[in-house]
Amino acid sequence: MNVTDFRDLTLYVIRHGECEHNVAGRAASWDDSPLTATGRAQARNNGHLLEEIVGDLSRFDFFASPIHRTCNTMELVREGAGLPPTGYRADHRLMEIHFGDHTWMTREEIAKLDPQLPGLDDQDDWDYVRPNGESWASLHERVGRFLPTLKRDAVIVTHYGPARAIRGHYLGLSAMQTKSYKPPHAGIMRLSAGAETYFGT
Amino acid sequence: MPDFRDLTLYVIRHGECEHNALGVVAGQNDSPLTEKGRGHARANGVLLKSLAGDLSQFDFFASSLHRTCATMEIVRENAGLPRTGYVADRRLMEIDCGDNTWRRWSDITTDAQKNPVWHRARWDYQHPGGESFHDLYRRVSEFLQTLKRDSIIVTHAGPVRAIRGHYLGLTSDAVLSYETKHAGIMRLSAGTDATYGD
Repeated sequence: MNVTDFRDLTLYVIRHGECEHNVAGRAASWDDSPLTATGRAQARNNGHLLEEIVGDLSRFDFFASPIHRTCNTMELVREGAGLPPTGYRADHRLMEIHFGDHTWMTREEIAKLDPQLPGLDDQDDWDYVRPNGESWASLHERVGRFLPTLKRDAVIVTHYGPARAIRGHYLGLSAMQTKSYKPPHAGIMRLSAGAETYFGT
Repeated sequence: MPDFRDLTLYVIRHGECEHNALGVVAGQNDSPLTEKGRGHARANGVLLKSLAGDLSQFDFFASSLHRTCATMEIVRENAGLPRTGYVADRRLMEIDCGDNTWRRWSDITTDAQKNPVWHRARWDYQHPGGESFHDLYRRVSEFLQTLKRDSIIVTHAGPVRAIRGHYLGLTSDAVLSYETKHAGIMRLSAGTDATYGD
């Protein structure tokens, strides 16, 4: 039984730092590539910022996607916030949207495959299931199964797609409103008391 | 494209993690390497260097989950290589245990035995909301077809079994009965398997 509605909690949501695939303009999705030096600095700075905003982090639970880049980012965030690197949970429901056969492609390469395919951020791609992968709608649904498991205020380190989904669920947004948010590598989103606030962006 | 059965593959399981010590199944979740697990990875790096010699002719692949990439980086450091310089591939991830994630294996099997599929073919038993071993076996096969050179692969217990099964052309029973360890390296070469350092 869930005694807590996650919308009554305060959530700090952080995207992983910049990785080599981000610089190359490619979607790593369920694959991975290393954090760049910039990405490592973004993660450490987000840690300092988190401590500055929150102060005492002992009442927070910490969750990351189990992919290497998000766990690495979480460990740098925790170190930057003065915490031991481990001491967080890695949950598969926080993984990036599964791009299937489109993994590692650029937007242009995906568009070239089939000119009829909806673009990555087009208005009508919410239900489009990527070959051997998933849709934004199914990502939204699995993030929606993670959020009710939260019991306390939490710090969440995840990817572009799940950061948008968490915001959408928390604020009760439409698909279009959910997709309008572009999570950055540097900076933190706070969801609290029904509202969003951005720090360090 | 070469047939992967003509290549030499060194296959390494991630070092021991907290969930292994607790006796629960992490599936596609993750938990940190224990101090013992970091020791497994260090020893496997030193062993790999002594077994394979010049590692410049090898490609390196890891499952994209944190524990396998962390293991890969320790292995590479201890084999005298830079930490990065490997490819992280989703098809090497552990089996998706769905709703069974983070449960004890003994509790999972107790429940699974209520399912007729488990008795008919454990191979086809699908974790609720997750994968069957058959699903895992197919995606590992897709990965193996992409190999172009001799390779070092750092992955999980399930994919280690699947790689060995595909390489040696085993029956499902022979695939599932193989026990994997955190310490040691399996070499697949010229149609046979050999294990070192376990």
